[in-house]
Amino acid sequence: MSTIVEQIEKEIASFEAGAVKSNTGKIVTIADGVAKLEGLSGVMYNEMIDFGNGVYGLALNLEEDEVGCVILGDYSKLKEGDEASTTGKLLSVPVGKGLLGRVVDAIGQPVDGKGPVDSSETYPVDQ
Amino acid sequence: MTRDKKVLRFAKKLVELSSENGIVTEARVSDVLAGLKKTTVRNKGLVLKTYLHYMRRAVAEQTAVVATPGALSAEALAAIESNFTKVYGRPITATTTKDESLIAGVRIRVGDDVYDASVAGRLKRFAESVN
Repeated sequence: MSTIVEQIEKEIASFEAGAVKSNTGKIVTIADGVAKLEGLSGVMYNEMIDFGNGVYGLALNLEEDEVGCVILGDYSKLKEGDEASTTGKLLSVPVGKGLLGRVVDAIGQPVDGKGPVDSSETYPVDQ
Repeated sequence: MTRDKKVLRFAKKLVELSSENGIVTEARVSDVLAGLKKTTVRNKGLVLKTYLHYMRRAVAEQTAVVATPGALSAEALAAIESNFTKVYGRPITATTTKDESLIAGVRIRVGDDVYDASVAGRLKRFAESVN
């Protein structure tokens, strides 16, 4: 419980009223875990795309008007017209001793029901 | 939107012709539409639909849509316009929309870019950091 309070206190201490910039796009088509997005003009190759509700994707196919993206998670929640935004991060996962013995999904989120991975560092998966 | 490359290329060319120094103008759009009426083009309907699609994007890139839960003063709107004009290096026109779900603050959209300075956005990011 004290960690929750500490986390809130940390967030309050770092509170800044500045604006957060994100580059957004919309799902044009989605099928079999692959989405085509319109927009996302500032996306990088291999960048993680945030679809909201904890669903992320990986930008793999950068075309002139569209971005092809592989969904890493439950894509049944997503539909055409949903908004997605860039994260500014390449596909990376938490690393360190806290990861030992844990079961995680493709983006390093725990699936073993043992809570968050105790790690302060993340590495790109291609490293 | 169509995947026909010829139609896409033609529609893009029409968007180019609709702009002056990278800025879409009403006069140019009227000229382009008048020119299209006179000429015979294959798949004219499809070309026009694709042209509309690209034009919507071009107009969105010249417009700052300011969403706020309350009213925004004319001075604030003018300041937003001048600041974004400086940032993007092209004339940006600001329009306002009411969005009470933001609770307080503003969310500004210019093309694909979204600048979120709202309480709702802050709470959302905080909730994500806690999870």
